Amino acid sequence: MEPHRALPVWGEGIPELDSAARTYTLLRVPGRQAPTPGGALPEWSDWVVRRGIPAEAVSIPADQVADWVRHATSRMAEVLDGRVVGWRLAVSGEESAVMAARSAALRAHLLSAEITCHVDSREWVQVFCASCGARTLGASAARNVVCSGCGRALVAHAHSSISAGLYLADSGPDSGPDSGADAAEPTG
Amino acid sequence: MSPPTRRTMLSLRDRYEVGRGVEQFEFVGADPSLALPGYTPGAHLALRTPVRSNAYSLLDDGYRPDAYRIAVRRAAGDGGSDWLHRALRPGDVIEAAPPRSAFAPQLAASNHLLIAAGIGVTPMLSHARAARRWGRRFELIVGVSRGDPLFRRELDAVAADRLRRVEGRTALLGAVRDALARQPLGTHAYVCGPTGFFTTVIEDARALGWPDERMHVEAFDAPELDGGLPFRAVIRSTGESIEVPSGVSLLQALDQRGILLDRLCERGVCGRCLVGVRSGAVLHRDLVLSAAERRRDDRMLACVSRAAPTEPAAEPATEPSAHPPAEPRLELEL
Repeated sequence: MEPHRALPVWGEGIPELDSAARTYTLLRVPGRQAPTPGGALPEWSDWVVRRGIPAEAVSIPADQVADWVRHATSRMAEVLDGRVVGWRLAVSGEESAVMAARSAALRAHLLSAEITCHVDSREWVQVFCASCGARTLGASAARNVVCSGCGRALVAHAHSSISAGLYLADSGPDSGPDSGADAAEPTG
Repeated sequence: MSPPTRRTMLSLRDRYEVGRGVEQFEFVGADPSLALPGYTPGAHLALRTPVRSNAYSLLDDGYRPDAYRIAVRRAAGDGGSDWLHRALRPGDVIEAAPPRSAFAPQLAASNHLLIAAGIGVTPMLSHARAARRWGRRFELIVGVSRGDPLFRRELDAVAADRLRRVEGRTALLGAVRDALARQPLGTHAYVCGPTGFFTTVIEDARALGWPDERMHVEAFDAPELDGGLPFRAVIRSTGESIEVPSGVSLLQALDQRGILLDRLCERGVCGRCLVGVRSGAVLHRDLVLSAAERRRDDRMLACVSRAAPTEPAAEPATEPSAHPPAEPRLELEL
């Protein structure tokens, strides 16, 4: 299921792929604590084989996924390069990476109908700072994230931009130097 | 009482031949003090002739138009086009509805593939001219008849380096298939031609993995439709319940109750009799709404579309049904 609201709703289970596709890329971007190494890829791989749809599988190692999210636009440009209409993207894994992949694909003019998403972990959250506009990737379990742009301690809200692939964040009540915010790295 | 449609009066400035049996008509406002409104590329102009009302694609890019230009093929059996050829002379005034967009370019597209057969080239000229003006990337494939100069000069002027002319239906469909198979991500395709032509193009596109959301169709004829099953329409704001028998359109049934919607073609082509649907499943039979719009089931064209038949309750095959299917019902927002 695709996110349709400000708060992503991914649905239960592994979504079925589009039988109208001409070719597929199956992208795996796992979190480090993913419940299974392959996520949806084994099921999707069987599915495309059964239907005779040409497909390629691309798996990013779990310890490289955070870096992949930070450079999602350029990494996705490699995936998207040279594709023609009829191609579909299916991405499975860590929410921040799935959102970043989907956002990059939409910016490359893919339609929602051409993208299938599956989320099986939420270890990171990529936020948009309402104060300075910087993007920052932080651990989702952390209470706060330090903005990579303005240094404010940010509170991530349950509100996201589907097109940008980011959660909204602003400076919470505890935004001082002793706020306990986790340091994080810029993502763009 | 006539339907509540905005009307404008246009004066024919000039007309001249642009192809075999096809003439270009140039209209200006009958009141020269009023500027003609701009329009979206691919929009059509509806003209009311004494015989019938017809919609014609506008030819220019729609930006600050000095005139409304259309091309009309003299067609046997189509009284409106024939009347325009036969009777309308420069200086004559004719009633029209303002331009209406139902075939607009997708501004989020990275590339536009324009596909036309015969006189279906008219909205593509508008699209190509707008694409030139605004720097949009496009490719144009036009099916032509041997020796027919239809818009040759105009097409060369706007799209010479991105134009492929193809003679013959088989060759045209082959060229279109080739083009569909190599379009970069982000391309939207626009098709205008007879129903049989665009149906084949859509089937080919689907076979190549194109989602329906990337295909946009402008039809210039409409298929014959059966009378459909009876259903009930309920006006949400008043609670009024209206029976729509087989063979009677929702538009006609509303007329009989004094509820007059805008309309022009009454064939599911012009899109003017669009009504909102609050609840109920629609059997869409028009050529206007996209696949995505149909799936939402929140609007319909009252001239051709009806309530979808209700599913009979599942019962043992040997037992006669004690519960016949419920009457199909639509709740309308008017």
